[in-house]
Amino acid sequence: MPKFKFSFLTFFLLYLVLVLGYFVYAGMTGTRMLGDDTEQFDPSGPDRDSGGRRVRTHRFYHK
Amino acid sequence: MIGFEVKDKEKLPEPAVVKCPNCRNNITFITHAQASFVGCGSCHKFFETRGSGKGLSALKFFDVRKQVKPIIPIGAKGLLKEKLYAVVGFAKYKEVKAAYFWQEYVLWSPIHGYALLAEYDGHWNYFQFISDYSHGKAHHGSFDYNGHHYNLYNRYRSEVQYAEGEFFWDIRDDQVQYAEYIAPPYTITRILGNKELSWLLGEYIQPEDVKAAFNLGEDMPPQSGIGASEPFSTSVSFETLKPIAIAAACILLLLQVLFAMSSKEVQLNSNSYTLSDTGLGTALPSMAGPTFTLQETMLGKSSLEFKLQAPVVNNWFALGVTLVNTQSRREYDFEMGVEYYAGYTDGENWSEGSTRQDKIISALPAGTYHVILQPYRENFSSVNSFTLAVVQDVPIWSNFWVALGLLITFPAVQWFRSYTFEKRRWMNSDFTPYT
Repeated sequence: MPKFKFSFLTFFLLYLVLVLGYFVYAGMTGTRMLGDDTEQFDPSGPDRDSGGRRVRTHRFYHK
Repeated sequence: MIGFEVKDKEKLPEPAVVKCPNCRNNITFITHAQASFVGCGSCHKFFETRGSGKGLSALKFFDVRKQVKPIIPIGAKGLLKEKLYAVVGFAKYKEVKAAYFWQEYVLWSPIHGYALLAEYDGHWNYFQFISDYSHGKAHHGSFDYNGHHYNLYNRYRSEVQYAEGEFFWDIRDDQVQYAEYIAPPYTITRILGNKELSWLLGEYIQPEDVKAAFNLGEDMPPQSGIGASEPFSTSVSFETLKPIAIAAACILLLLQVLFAMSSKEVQLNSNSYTLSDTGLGTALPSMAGPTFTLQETMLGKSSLEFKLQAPVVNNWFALGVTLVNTQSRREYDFEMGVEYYAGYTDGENWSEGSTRQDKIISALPAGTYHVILQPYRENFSSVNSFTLAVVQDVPIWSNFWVALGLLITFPAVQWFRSYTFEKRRWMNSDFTPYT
């Protein structure tokens, strides 16, 4: 039985399959490969004042 | 002796032995009558053979100071390119009018004839004589041979500084002109002497292969620079990766077109909001946004695009958006903002920014969402309304560009390495195509 050799070409082909595979997954789930625009995912919210109320911080950069 | 013994039993004919007329040491004749010239390894005298039984006639002494010891000893046998050879001669050459030196080993096989093994700066080439190509004495910049395109790399004259062993040609010919054409790992060399014109086809060989072929014990000469015919990569070249990457890019484009065509782009909501007047320094109150339901998709998630529009002129408007999933209570926060500036300066109208901005929220689970809006604006701003639209399942073109970038990364790196490698190779040539 011939011995399998993990060549650079094999690595490149696997890399292509990985990239295309993730691209298909991202396309089917509406995932942005560069990351999301959302900034917080904590269900309880990250910023609260001393009274426990939710505080939103304005981050939009403008001139 | 028959060919079977050479090929299958790796045997070569026994050499004849002749006493050197000068120093009386033994000179072996492996090629027997094919040796026209012979150099004594003991006294460095060079002879011409006068035919069977007629002895040797002295021609010249080589300067002992220019003697180099051959790495592969005369008489060594080795299996190179699946051919059994004996090393029968060794010569050290110098380029006329330049301090470039190289060594050449004459190989001989009773079945395959003569071949040469040349070493320069630690780079080895295996040469065989060819008779199916010639462009005579004419100067050509390039030509094709056996499916490869050969480019002129070097032209020079050589002189022999030292030689020992057997030669079938007179190596003292100091009018020999060389022209080297390369198509790595191959080289075609034209040798134009006083009496004959020869063509050699060379192939680059790794030093380890030479060492293994002749079972050499000592270290091979260290490599310096890039060999004229040294291949760029022994693994994968840019030319190999290019068609694969192009095919993958075509598949990627096809997939993106399919995704774009199958995107539903369902508008879930589009609403205009009016901002209340507030006093100076007072923040705008948060507002209840739309409530919508994200439809279930095949994998349970989909993209959501928010499109903001506000009538900003020389000011800005920002909107904090919080999505609250009514089932999981999970929150998703992000901000959007528009700014638009225009004016007239130095006789020219100018503008920058936009009154619109789109943002994609990716991989949002299916379910019902409440939206809470927190507007921000400048003090004394004239912005008193904005429009927000929400669209589900939009194509994400940034994914295509990211994936395309990832696909071409490896070929691009290999191309750059190949380019710099070739540029360095041709630095040693007077005929470099690189400026």
